[in-house]
Amino acid sequence: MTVPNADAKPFGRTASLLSPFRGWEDSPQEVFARLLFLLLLVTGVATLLLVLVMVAREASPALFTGTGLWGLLITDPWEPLSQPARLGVRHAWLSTLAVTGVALALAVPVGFGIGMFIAEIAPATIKKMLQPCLELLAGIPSVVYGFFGYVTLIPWFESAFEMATGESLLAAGLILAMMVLPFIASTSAEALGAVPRDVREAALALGVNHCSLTCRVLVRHAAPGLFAAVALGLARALGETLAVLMLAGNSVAVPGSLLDRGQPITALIITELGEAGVGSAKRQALFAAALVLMTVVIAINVVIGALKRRILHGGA
Amino acid sequence: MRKSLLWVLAFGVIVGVTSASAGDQDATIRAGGSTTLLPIMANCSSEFMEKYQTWDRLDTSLPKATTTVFVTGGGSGFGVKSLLSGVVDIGMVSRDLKDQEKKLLGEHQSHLVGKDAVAIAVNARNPLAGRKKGFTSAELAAIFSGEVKTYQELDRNLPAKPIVLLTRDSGAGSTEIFQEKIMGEKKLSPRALQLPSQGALLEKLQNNNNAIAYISSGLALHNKNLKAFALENVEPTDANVTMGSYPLARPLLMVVKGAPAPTVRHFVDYALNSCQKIVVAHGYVPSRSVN
Repeated sequence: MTVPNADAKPFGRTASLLSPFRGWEDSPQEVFARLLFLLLLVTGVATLLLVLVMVAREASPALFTGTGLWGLLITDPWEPLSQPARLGVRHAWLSTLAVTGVALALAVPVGFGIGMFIAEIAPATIKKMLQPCLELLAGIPSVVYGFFGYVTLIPWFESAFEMATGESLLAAGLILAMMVLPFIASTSAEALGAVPRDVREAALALGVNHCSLTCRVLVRHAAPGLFAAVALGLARALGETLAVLMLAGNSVAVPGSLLDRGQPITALIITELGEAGVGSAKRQALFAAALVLMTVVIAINVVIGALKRRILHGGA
Repeated sequence: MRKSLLWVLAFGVIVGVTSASAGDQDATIRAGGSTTLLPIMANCSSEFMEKYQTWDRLDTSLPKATTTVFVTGGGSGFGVKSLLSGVVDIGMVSRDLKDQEKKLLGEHQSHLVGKDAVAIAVNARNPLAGRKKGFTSAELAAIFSGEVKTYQELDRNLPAKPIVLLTRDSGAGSTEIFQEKIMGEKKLSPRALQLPSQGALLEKLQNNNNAIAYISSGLALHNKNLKAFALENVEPTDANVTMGSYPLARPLLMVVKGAPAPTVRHFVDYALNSCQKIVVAHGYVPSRSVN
């Protein structure tokens, strides 16, 4: 397998952040184009940084005053109307955890299965039909999923589990699993399909059967892509707002089981932010909740990045 | 402060202006405040501006300038503050004026546009429908705080089904009224479902036979599938709300300071008469009967 040379010089020059400013002997158009693309890159990255800085700045009073981070995350209940207001988000992050956990526990195995089927087993015609279907599924707006769950799952939960009302973390998790499934399936199919042909042929030439080829060779080679699939699904599940708002019940009690109602962080923010005055403690607490969510997403990406590197090096 | 004001005004430009042109500043009316009143007043003002394109069409003594009414949100407190500082001509306030605000305003008039009343309601298949005529405040506080958990605890003949509480979020006006006038020191049960809008609340209430909710009286009364309860023996009818005998209500006010300019007077008149149907359309109780 050929590894692209990391020291390769595009257009014969060393590529670095400063490169747009070098090589003034080049034509002005080329320098202009390079500067333009650098500007676009900086704009994109700066947006992320500025969002982080802004959220952190708005959240900081909630983190460092009053009951602090411990109160916010662990001890305080969410009671914005009591005097003085108590603004803990324990119920919210527990709900997010539960809903995301259910969604990934269901969507990852099924998604990988679909991915393997598309990449390895399916005949070309079925593959051609499946791929656009997954893309379509991924493109359905979340409110449609939410509404679908609201008119199907909720009444079913009410009759099947004899619940007084069907909104629950499990219902939200089930719909969320459906929502992240196409992302995980199509990304893993791509990852498995991108394993070089010579790896596949070498394995087959050694006489392994299709099952061990898939499980022991392809999965290993496709690991970075499979991790990316999980990361994508996870980020989508954590950030999903509308469907979980409609299905989780939006109750501020700390959930005790999956059949309890809950309020994931995103639902908490969308429910309360509209009426939270600028500079109020409630708004700061909501931004702190958002910061928690962003930190978790970034941390997960870092961890998955590290795992990916480890597996790549271990497998090489 | 100035910055936030600027934002609010910018928002107002989007909401209220259909035909603003520079140079007729004197003929421009600014209204701002309560977000409950915002959609009513925004609709009302655009209707007004459409009907009377220039002020002289309304009253020949007025200048031949484009009719412009800015409507901005910001909250009731902001409405009073901006009226005091002269940023708005009409303060929109969705509660009674506080004594201190009245003192600060000095000579002022508050006009009742309508009332926002909250009714206690269940759907027609709920165990309570047909069984119970009304509640006392204490009963409601016990139900909504979660102390009374099943219908059986309310009445021994009813099934032991859990009571599902439907509420609006903590920032909603109806929650504010309910907390203040019914719950008092008690807290709303954390197990209550918080619906993000009155529409979602209505939908859920219609579909769940175990649910009880506090909901805009306009929505509860005009719906055949719902049963609204009396509170302390007073039915939440429009007449009782307007008269003030039904306790779970708050006024929707337009406040003007001192002697209003003729343009402001004309617009207030229009809002109090022609816009009453808009008040009804938004689920609130009109201050005058609408035919």
